[in-house]
Amino acid sequence: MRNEFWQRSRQSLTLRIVVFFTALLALVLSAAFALVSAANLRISRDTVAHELDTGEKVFRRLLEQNASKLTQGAGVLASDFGLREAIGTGDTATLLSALRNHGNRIGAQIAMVSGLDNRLLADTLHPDRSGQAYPFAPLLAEAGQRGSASGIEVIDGRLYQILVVPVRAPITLAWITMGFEVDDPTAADLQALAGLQVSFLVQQRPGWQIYASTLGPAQRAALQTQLSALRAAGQLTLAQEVYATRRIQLGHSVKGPVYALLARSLDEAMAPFYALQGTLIILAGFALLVCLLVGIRLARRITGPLRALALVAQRIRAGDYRQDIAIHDGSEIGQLAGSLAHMQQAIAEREAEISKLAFQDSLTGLPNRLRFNQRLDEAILRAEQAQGQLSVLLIDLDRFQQINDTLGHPYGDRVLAEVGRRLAACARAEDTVARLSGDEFALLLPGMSTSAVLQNIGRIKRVFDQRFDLDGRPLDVRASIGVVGYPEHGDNAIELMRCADMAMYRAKRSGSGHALYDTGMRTFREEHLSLLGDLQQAVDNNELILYYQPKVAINGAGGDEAEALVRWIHPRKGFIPPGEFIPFAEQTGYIKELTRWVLARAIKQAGQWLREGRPVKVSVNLSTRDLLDPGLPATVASLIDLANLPPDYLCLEITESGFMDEPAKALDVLHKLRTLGLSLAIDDYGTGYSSLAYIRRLPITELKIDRAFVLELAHSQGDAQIVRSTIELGHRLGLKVVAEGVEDQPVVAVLAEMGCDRIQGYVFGKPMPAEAFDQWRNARLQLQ
Amino acid sequence: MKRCLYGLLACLPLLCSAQLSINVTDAGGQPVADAVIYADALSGKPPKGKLNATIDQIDKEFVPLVTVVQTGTAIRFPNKDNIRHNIYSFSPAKVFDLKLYSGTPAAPIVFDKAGQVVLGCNIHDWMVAYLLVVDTPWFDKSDAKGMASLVGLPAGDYLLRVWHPYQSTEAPAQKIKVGSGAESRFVFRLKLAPPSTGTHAK
Repeated sequence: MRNEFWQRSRQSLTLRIVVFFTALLALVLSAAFALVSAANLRISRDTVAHELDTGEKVFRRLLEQNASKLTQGAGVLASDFGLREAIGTGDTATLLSALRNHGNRIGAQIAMVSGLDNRLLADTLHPDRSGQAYPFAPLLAEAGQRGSASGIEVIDGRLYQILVVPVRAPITLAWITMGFEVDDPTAADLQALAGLQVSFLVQQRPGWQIYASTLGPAQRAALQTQLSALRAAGQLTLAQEVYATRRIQLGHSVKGPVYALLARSLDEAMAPFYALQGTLIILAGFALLVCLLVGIRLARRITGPLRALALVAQRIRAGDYRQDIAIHDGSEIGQLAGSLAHMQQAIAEREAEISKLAFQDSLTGLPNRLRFNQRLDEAILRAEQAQGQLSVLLIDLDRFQQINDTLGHPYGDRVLAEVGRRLAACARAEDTVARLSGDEFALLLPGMSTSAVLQNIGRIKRVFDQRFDLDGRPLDVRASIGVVGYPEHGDNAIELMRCADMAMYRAKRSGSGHALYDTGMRTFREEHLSLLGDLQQAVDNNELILYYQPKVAINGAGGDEAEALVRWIHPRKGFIPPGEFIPFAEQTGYIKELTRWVLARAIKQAGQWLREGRPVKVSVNLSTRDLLDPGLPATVASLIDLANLPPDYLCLEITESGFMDEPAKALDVLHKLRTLGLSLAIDDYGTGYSSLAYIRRLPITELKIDRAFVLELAHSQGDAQIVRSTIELGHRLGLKVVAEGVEDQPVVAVLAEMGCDRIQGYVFGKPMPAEAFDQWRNARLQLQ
Repeated sequence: MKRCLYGLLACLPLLCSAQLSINVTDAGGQPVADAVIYADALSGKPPKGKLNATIDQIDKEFVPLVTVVQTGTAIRFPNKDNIRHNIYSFSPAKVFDLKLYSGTPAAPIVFDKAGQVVLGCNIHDWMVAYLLVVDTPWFDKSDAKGMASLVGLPAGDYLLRVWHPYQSTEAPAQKIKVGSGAESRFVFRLKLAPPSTGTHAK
């Protein structure tokens, strides 16, 4: 569940947009941050270096200024007349007091006077040193050359800035040396001006010494340990604080070189940089947050309508076409919404159209089979719930095909429309009248029992009693009606319609106009249904066998012509008579396969006999459906070709009724067959309505007189007359005449006397398998 | 001109008095001006010469720069400027302090002790004058050509000395005998080190 959620989220447009833009911004911000940080870091480092440079310059300048100022001050003091007088004339005690006095005036902690002989005249720090050598001879020498000198010296463990100026009266009389202590306050003053931490160091024996510093005690202690490693420029870490440092040599005292150490706290210098960095991070975080929020909002603004449209599309899929798709903006989404709205409308219209086409018969405007079945289902459901009943009438027009053939399809269509109109007119409001197919109508009567239907059947029949007068062409139309009822004949639509169908056929066959279904019909049908499967298997399993019945010439030995008849030896049921399965095969359409099988077998057999030197002309029966198959001539042609059988050895027999449904089509097929050179025979002649005049138009070569006329031939004068005239007429039309069903010799004699060409019947031989036929022929030949 | 006159006056009592001619050069042989040449008699008390002199202050300078007088000479310090000066000396030979004054102070200052005296002005530090007080009336100052002359010296032995305010070391005295046929030309070579007094604006 969770996984699915995440998977969906990952695919969501919102998330993708937001993630993309946020990531992009984060990338840009990171890059900017890195660049700015690098630049800032560099700038900060440079700034520190620059600060140190500047600080160093300022520091040096300060020192110089300080020295210069002090030198001037000392100079001024040295020019003081009183001091000069004291030096020029006074005793040491006076001189000392004068020195102290004047030294104090400019804040010097040390004042000395030395004579031109480089000996101390007075020393305020060590009054007892008068007469001793001046301790800082190099300074004095420098002062002798340049008029004054300054230096830095360690005296009694303290660091002093030392100045030497001459005392003139007016020529140089002596030198005054003044010392100003360099201590922490001095360093602090310098720090205030230079902006750097300042320390004064002396590299003396035994080790470095810090004399003054602005550093705190901890840093100072840390510095003390690192002094020996000091360089001119570098970094120091003092008590966890990092400093950039510069070391400047200030002078060379008698103890050793004197340095100033300038230090800039990096932490302090970098503080603004880190502050900026912090600000940047906060800004970046804020920008990302804003981007995220705005991104989500923007993305939702895009995907929200999309999601709404997706929902609309889902509802359309579910069949809801009445949604208000209300996104009215000019954007692509608005256009999409508009398209969707149009699509919804179009689908709704098209579906209505399709429904109409699907459920309505376009010719009559009545419900079609699909709609009828739905209504029937619904009616059955209602009847079931209400413990009620209903009836269904299946109405099939008689010989409608003939109307179509003779008067044309447009006329036939108008007849159908009129039938529909009349049926609808006599139906109740709750009834359903439908056209199921071709000339088949159905009437659903909810709530009506079959007995009630039968009582009122006259009302339906009267629909057809009235003449159809279309285009001034009166026409009688009859119909056969099958009646079934729920619940007695079935509890579902399929079952009911099947029963209605059977009842309708019964009515059609009996000519009674209508029939109520009875269960007897069911068993018959079901047996046949199972046979259909068996028959298909029979062809595959060679359960079918062809029997041959000789057609013996009046003056011949026989055995040169035979009719092929199919027999079925069922593995369980044994022998099944052709009357059982041939009509059934004709009804189901399976007759086509059956005929092909028979044709193939018979032609093969005829071919075999021909090759064996005892040719037999074989006749094969065609059914009505076969005659309507336009592919039949080609099939036959390829079969005889395959068997290498000349067409003279094949005769096809057709029944009179085979022409009746669609004579034009059948005639076309017959002509093609005849063109192949085959013989064509009319079977069962005399049972139908066709006249010889009609027969004359058919491309036939043979006439077979039905057994009904032949059986009683010897006893019935009427039949004899019919047979005789038929034979005569047949001969006159150039047809060969065959009598079938001949069972005794007297009949043979009569037929011979009448001039019948061939005789077929038990009197010569029953239908028999090919081998038996061979034996029979051999026996006949030996008889002669 | 004056010197000549003095010289002549000094020579008057001693007809046989000698005239010494001295040439003073520096270490490089260049003539040195303002060098004081004097002769100390090795025997006898020298006579008193002219015992007054004047050192002017003109345009904030002492004029002349170098003066030589005999012990006991009274020197006047007339101020020719229209501003005041305050002349002093801390030199051991004579310490004095003439407070701010204009014109000529009423009393001259008597230098009664031999030695060098450096004079300054307490107001104008750059003003300096050198005075050599000697115990002899026979002295002279070299001119721009480094030439000086002593006249009127009676015969006898003398120490001929030279002094210059800028001398770094004292040149050795020359023992001379003044008399008939005595050498009358002398040369002194001085080592000088000009004072590093820096520059002073007037």
